[in-house]
Order: sequence, then structure tokens, then C-alpha cells
Amino acid sequence: MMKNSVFFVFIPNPVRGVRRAITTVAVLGLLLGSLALPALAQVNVLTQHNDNTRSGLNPNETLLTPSNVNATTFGTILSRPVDGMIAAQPLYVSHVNIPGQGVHNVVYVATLHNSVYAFDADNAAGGNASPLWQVNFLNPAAGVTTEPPSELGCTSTTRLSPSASRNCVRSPTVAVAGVTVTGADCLILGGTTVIFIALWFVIRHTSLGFAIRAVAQDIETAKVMGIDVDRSVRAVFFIGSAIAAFGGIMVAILYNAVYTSMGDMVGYKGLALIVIGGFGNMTGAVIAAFILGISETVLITYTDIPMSRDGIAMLMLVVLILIRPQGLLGKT
Amino acid sequence: MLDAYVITILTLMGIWSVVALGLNVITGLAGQFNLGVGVYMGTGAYASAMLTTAAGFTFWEALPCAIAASACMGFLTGLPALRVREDSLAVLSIGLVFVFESLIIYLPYFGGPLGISRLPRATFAGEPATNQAYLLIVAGALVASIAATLYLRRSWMGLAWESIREDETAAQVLGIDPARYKLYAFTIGAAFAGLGGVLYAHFIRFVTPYDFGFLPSIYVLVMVVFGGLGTVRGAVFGACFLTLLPELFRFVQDYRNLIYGLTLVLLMLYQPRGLLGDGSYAWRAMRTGWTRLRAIRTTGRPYASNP
Repeated sequence: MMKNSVFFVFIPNPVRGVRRAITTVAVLGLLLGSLALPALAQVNVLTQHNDNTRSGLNPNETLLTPSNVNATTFGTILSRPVDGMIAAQPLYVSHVNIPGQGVHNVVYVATLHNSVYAFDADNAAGGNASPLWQVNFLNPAAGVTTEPPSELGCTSTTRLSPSASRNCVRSPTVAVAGVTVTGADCLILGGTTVIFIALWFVIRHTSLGFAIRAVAQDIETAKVMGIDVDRSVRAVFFIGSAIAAFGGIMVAILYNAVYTSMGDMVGYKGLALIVIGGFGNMTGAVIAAFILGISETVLITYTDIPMSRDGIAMLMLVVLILIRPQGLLGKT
Repeated sequence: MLDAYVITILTLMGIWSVVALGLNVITGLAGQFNLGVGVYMGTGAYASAMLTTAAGFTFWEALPCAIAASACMGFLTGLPALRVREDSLAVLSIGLVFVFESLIIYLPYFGGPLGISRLPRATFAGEPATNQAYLLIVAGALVASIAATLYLRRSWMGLAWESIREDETAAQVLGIDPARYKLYAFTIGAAFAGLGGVLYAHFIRFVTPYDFGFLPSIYVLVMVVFGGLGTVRGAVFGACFLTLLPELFRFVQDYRNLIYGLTLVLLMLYQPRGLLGDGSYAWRAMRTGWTRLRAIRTTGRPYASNP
């Protein structure tokens, strides 16, 4: 049976595979854990019931403990006038850089009069006496009104996207045959093409690529033939991580947001795409990626399958693996 | 009389041990790499939750039905294992666990992302079980699972699993039908995990799809590998220790997960066979100690001074 270098380091046989996979997961956990630490100092409340699970649980609370939640240290800090009743949950984001007003910890409040306020969360004195900003969405001409008699406007809680509000990157757009293409789209497609060709060249036409392929095929024989196995394994990790980093940057630009768990689903799908493409088969992996991306979008848009986008993608991956266990184009 | 906190921790340790034993049958004994044990645990938990809340079953009536449901799920998800092996099977099981989670969330019957709440308490001797009584139930289930696993390992089926794990082609040449025994492993392992799921559901008394997703599945795999893949002591020890570990490191607060990850990395680097696996340092030391003790007891002299 043929062995593949990437998967030798990753999952060659049950025992070693489990060991490698778990080390990888654990290292990732460590890295992401340390990335998340600064944010843990004060927990952002980005939507109703804290986060997208809407469970109301705040698993990351660090400041409140049973000993300091009492009448002497816990209570109203300040109160601010607004233009209507408040039904939506006020939201909190720490360290927001508001242009012209510096960095604030901000409380966002939406009222039934369809106004959204941003207040400084820590004090109401001096420059913070007035809201940091206020927007009113009432526009009777456009049909945005409140519901009489008791003025029911904005009742539900919105979802804040902290990174999008802070680093807004607008790409230029062009229209090609009625389809709007942004600069980011071009960058992603172009970058992928360049990387694909460069990788193909390195793997097929350089001595390093030759060494990598030899190690992939048979690590013992490669060693006997005088190939520096450690070096090619290092190179594989280096190249692979660099390409993945390019992907991460492109995703960040495309969705205009970065967050610690952004690589999770992409990572699982990537792993599955390698299997579907046929281990080590670059063309197969790219074809599989396009099939997956296009068909998951088509299915989620035009059918009523009771599943999330990722669920549909995973279902397709399972089906594809079962149809062609050897990969779309077979192993190289 | 135990502290309520201690009882909760002990119960969770027991529940995760049962689930880990289930995965140990599939991955440890039969060698079928599976990253989706949450599917079986979730099937058990949701089956029991539906039966007790919607169909009016009691805990003890729902228990066998839920275990049967997870066993069926194990059989169904075992079928793909007949077609793909190793890496592909692992990736496939990742896919299955996401499909399962997604279906539970989006199908209109299972309470959506909010899950099912207000599960009835288990009854013990005719009365709603207190947490102490429930701990006894969990302990009973754990003992039964350990006994069943030990029996299976010594049986013909255990030998067949071991041969498939070591070399599938060779096993086939010897007349062992890998497909059949793989399906047995998936069915039995899933039944154990389903039992764990039922116990979990009626202990927490609230189930959501996220309790049985990809990360919990990974945690269970980590438990089994941490203790020593393929051994009963390893699965139970790994589950107990890794349930306890975050509690022990509660004082470092935010850095708990870092300690958790660091422990795993160090263990995988220095004891890749698991802390109590065959050939690990701790297990070898225990074996040597035991041999010496026995030598002293039988001859009255230390092992080294035997002729």
C-alpha cells in the first residue's frame, strides 16, 4: 500500500494517526486558546443571550464571582436618557475604536422608537455625557414606522460583528457580463491559480518536490536512497501552512471578519476534500473543492433540505467518499 | 454522604467512561478509526428524551429502546466502513457527525437548536432518583459495560476484532469475515455510547444538538487515546482523569483549556501509547511491581534474589 507524506505526518495508521491527529488538535487548541485570552479579560455581549448559541450562558466570565456580586460592589453605574422604551437586550463590546472619539468600552442600546445608541460603558462624565453616536431609523416615507398605539419599533436584538465594524475593507468592484466581481474575488481566483501552478512546478520539477514525492511513496526506501526525510517533511509543513495562511487571509478579506474559530469548518472540509480528490492529487482536490463549493451553494439556495450549509456540504462529502473511496481522480 | 459537587463529578466521570468504552470497542478493539462517537451518544440521548417527554415512557422503559436505537445507528454508520478504510473512514465519520448535528437542528421534530428540556428524572426503587441514587445507576451501568467489554475481548469475537485491527487481509485469509465483525463492533460500540447518552440526558435533563457534535466526539477519542487505546483500564482512566482535570485546574481559570491542551501534547510526545496503555511507562512499572510482589509472596524473598 502506498503512503503519502502529508498523511504520514498526519494519519498513517490507527495508532500513529490518532496520536498525530490529537497532537494537532491539541496544538491548535493551545494556539487558539492563547489567541482568545486577551478577549477574555472582558467578555463582549454581541447578541441576545451573549452569543450565537443563545443559551444565556456566559462561559467566559472572569470578573464576576460569587464573592463580588453583592450590594456593595454590584449595582447601577450610571443611567442615560433615550428616546423610547427598550425591549432589545443592550449589547456590550470592549475596546471599540470610534473615529474621532478614541477607544471606548461601548454599550449599544436599541429603542422602540427605532433609535440605536452607543454609550460609553464606564462613565457618563465630560465628553461621555452625550451618546458616542445615535442613529434613528424612522423613515415614514420609506415605510419604516413604529407600530401604534404603544410605539413598537425595534424589539429584537441585533447581532454585532466586532471585527467588521473595526476594520472595514471595501474592495473595488467590476461588472462582467452582468455579474459583479469584487477585487477580492479576483485576488482569490488569481492567487489560487498562481499557487496551484507554483505548487505543481515545485512538486513536479524541483529536487525538493522529487524528495517530497519519494518520501510520500516509501519513507524507508527514500531514506536509504539518501533523501533527507526530515527536511522534506519540514518543507511540506512549511509550504502547506503558508498556503493555508493565504486561504485564511483571503477568507478574512472576503467576509471582512476574523475570529478565532474561523478555520474550524474550513479545516474539516479541507481534510475531506483531500480524501475526495485522492490523496496527494492536487487536480483532484481542486476539482473536488469547486464541486463542493458550487453544489452546496446551489443546494442551499434552490432546495429545502432541512440542513445547514455545512451539514449539506458534509453530507455531500460522505456521499462522494462512498461513491469513489479511491478519490475522484485516484491516488497519484 | 458525599458533597453534591463530588457526586456530580463522579456521575459525569462514570457517564464519560461508558461512552469511552463504547468508542474503545470500535477504535481500540476493532481498529476502526471513528471521530464521530457523538452520533451514537446523541442517538441514545435524543431517543430517550423523545420517548420520555413525548411518548410518556419512564426512564427504565426508554433505556432499552434508546440503546437499541443507537445500536441501529451504529449498524447503519458501520456500513460505509465496509467500503472505506483508515484515513477515509476517519474523514467520513467527521462528515457523519456534522450531518447528524445538522439534521437534529433543522428537522422540525427534535426541538431545533434549543434541544429538549424537562426530561423526567430516572426512578430508583419506585421513587424519583436523587443524585446519589443516580450515581448508583451510573456505577451499575459502568460495571456492566466493563464486564461486557472484558468478556467480549476474551471471546472469539474479540480475537477476530484484534486480527482485523492488526491486519485485515491476513484475517480474511484465515477465514474471518472482516465485514461481519466490523459491523458487530460498530453496533456494540454504538450501544455502549448510546447507554452513555441516555445516562447523560437524564442526568443533565436537558439535551441540545451541540452536546453531541464534533468536539464532544473528539474529547471522547482523546480520553480513549490518553488512557491507552484498546484497553479497558485506559478508556475508564482516560475518561475519569480528563473529566477531573479541568476541575483540578479550576484555580487557573481562563488558562484551564491551555493546561488541558498542554497535557495532551506532552503525553502524546512522551507516552504515545497512552498513560496506561500496553508498553507505557506507568503500566510497565505497575506490572514489574506486581511481579515482584507476587514473587515475595510465593517465595518469601525479593524477586531479584530468586535463584
